[in-house]
Formats: sequence, C-alpha cells, structure tokens
Amino acid sequence: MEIHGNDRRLISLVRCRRVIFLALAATCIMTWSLSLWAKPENAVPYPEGYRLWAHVMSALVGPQSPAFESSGGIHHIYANEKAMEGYRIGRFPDGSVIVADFLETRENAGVTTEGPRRRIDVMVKNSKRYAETGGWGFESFRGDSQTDRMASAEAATKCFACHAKQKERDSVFSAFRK
Amino acid sequence: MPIYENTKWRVSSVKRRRVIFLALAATCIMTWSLFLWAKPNDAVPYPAGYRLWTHVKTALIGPQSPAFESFGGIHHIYANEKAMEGYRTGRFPDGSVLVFELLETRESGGVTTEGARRRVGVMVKESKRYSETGGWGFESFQGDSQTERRLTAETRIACFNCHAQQKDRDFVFSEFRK
Repeated sequence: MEIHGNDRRLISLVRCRRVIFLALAATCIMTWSLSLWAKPENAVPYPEGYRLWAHVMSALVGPQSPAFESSGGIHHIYANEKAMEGYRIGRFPDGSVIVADFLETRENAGVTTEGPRRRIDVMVKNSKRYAETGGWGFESFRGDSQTDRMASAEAATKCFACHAKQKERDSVFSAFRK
Repeated sequence: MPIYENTKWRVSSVKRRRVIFLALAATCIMTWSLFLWAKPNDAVPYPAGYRLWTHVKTALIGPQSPAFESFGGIHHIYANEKAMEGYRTGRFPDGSVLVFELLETRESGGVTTEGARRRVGVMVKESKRYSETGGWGFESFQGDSQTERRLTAETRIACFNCHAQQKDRDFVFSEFRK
C-alpha cells in the first residue's frame, strides 16, 4: 500500500510538469507570433530620437520645382553615428540610419520659417536583409506619426529606383555640409 | 668643525631654495601673462565642433525682409548639451553655447540649397563673467574663420539690447523644433 501511494504521487508530479511545460510552450509560441505580427521582419523601424542626431544638410523645394507637389517645403537630413561614418568614408556600415525631415513652410514679410511636418523618409542599412535594394531599407512616416507607413511594399520601386543612380556613393544623395 | 660645515651646508641649501622659488615664480608669471595674451578674459571662444551639436531650428531670410542685408540667407541654430537643457527648462546653465550659422543660398530650378558660410554667431552663458549682459557673452566669426572676430564693444551691446526683449526666456529667441 505504501509503494502504491508513492507511485500515485510520482504520476501526479509527472502530470504537473507536463502541464507546466505545455503552458510555457504555448506562451513562447504566442509571444513569437505576436512579435512577428507586430514587426514584419523587413519593416524599417521608426527612427526614435533622430532630432538629436547630426544635421547633415538642408534645402528648400519651392513651387517652381517639379518635386514641389511631393516634397515641397524645407527638408533637413539627419544621420546617426554609423551613418556619419558612412559620409566620411563613402561606405555606410550596417546600422546606418539616415532621415529626411520634410516640413511645410510659413512665409511672413520675406522670412520663411518651419511649419508642421509633412513626413519623414528613412533609410536603414542592413546589407543582408535589404540585399535586393542596395543594402538599404526604405520607409516614409506620415506627419508626426510613428506608425502611419507610406512606402512599405512600394519602397523598392518608389525609393530605390531613384537612389540606385547614386550607386558609387552607396545609394546616398546627400553629403555632409561642413 | 662639524658644526661649521653643517652651517655652510645649511646656507647653500637656503640659497638653492631661494633660486628654485624665484624660478618657479618667474615661470608662473610668464605662463599667466601668456595665457592672458592668448585669450582675453572675456573673449567668447570659437565653438569648435558645433556642426555635430543638436540642430534646433532653421529659417530663411529673403530679399523682401528688412533684415536681408545683415541676415539674408539660410540660418541654422545649433545647441550644445547644456543649452539643450536650457531649452527644456527655460533657464540656460553656465556652459550653454548657442550657435547661429548664416549661409548664403543658391537657387536652381525652384530648389534653394546651402551656399558658403557668411558667419557664425555665438552666445556663451557664463553668469559671472558676462553678468552685465544677462550672463551671456556674444561673438560673431567671419565666414569659415575661427579667429576673425566681427564684434566691437558697441556691436556687442547691440546684440544684448535686442536679446534683452527676451528676458523672460533667458534672452534666447529660438525654441527647439520637435
């Protein structure tokens, strides 16, 4: 009888472990699929804190320019530290992020000032992940939004088609203004 | 005899100390006067490396503006880390440096781009040193020069007189564009 009681205890212990194991496995699978859903593998992340990065250069696209409708206004280029290395040596290392900040303009008595944000364009270097587009991932975020993506699937045609002209400069148009 | 020798030794040691003391004093005085000569006490230093500081905001002053002659072109404001604290808290701590960079503009096909540097205006916060001008020291460097100073005692007061309007904001006009 004593041996029998011992066996019963052993069986319930094994069952208990099995339940814990299954619960853990289910949690893992759920977390993993949630993370996949939230961030598709190739999605370019929003460039958190880019306003404090180095300011590369600026320009103003006016009504006379054919680019006015899509990019009219003042724009600034910002680069993280790795991208700054890229501007120096001509090859941008993985992890480089370049942001073009597009703002509306306000004019008053001959003075043009910065208005609300139209969008930001982002380039992220990851030579393996974005091998088909020169190693760069492209995205645009509308206005001040960190989630409203404007380029996504069309990035390859919309952005890279034009940036590919700059192959000798690692697909980058801007140069750091000293 | 041993006592006499001891006295002689003592005298020579006193002489030697005197010589060393005089040499040290002379060195100190020379260093101090060289330091004064190289850097007048109140001179605002050139803000080395400001191009990598945080970009605060930008504006463009066109020919229609009455300020065109003196401020015409595109200008960017840059701030060091202490000055960034000032924008956040409204009080700029000692060591804050703000740079007003004025560039010529080039225009082509409706796009205005950055040209040559006209000058670099600097504000440095040192509440004791510049106590008569709100705690701020003012200077302006010509073009790309780090040594050619544009301000005289009179124009320096003109800087302050205009910034004095902004007393409630610690004499600063600009605000960080988020």
